[in-house]
Amino acid sequence: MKSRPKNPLATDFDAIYQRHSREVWALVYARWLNADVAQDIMQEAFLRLWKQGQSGGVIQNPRAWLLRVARNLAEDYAKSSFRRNGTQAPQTMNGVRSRDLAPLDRMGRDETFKQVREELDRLAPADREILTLRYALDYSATDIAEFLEINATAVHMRLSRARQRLAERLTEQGVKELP
Amino acid sequence: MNEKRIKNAGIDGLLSNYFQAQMSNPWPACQATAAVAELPRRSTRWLTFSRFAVAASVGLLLVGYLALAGFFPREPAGKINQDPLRNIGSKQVPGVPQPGANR
Repeated sequence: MKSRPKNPLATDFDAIYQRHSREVWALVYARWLNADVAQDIMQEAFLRLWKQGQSGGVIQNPRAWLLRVARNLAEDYAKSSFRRNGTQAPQTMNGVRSRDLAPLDRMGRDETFKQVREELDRLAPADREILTLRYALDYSATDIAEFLEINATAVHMRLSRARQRLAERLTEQGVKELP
Repeated sequence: MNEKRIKNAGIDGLLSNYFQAQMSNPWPACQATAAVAELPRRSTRWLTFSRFAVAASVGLLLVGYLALAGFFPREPAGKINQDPLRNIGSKQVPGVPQPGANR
């Protein structure tokens, strides 16, 4: 009996996840600057890919497919009632304690990170995307150029400009010590 | 110039720390394939056994059928319904000759 050819989506799913999950996360993170949302959307995109594989669908370029789905999901998130309303009233959520208590020395760092997040939020989405790819995934300018399908020189320029703008704004905000 | 260089190194370190802190560590494992791996899988040995059992059952049915057919030899085609005893219990219809009546 001739065995059926295996669906690469089903057989290589783990490898695809290992290879592209961080990129998908970074793409969504650059959009919303929220690690949990980025993780949820990343998992949803991979779940959809998994279902596609199970139903026998063939995707020629899983990376492009995942990035497109993640982009759409990230845009849909803007319209979702969950984003607008959340699950609980803010006063309830403020009372929820973290599992691990933050030591005092983490407070300063968290405060700095909060300011970084606010300043990142003020940047253009394209600049945020480049910074995320550079610092979250440690991508080189060539990698970023390939990922965003733009010129490497443009990446260098935008990276340098975004970094400089961020440094200026953080200095204005009074961020003196950078951890 | 020197000051700017220090500032750039500072922003590099800050952004690296910031983004690394945002990413889960360790990175979450692939849940879908893990779930599939946990599903009970039927062993190849069991599959072979069940296939053999089906084949043996079919073989046994065939042998039984042939053996029974040997005990009860079939009548030649021309002699079917010529036995008058076959008409016992059948109702006689007027105008319709009873099979075997002209014998």
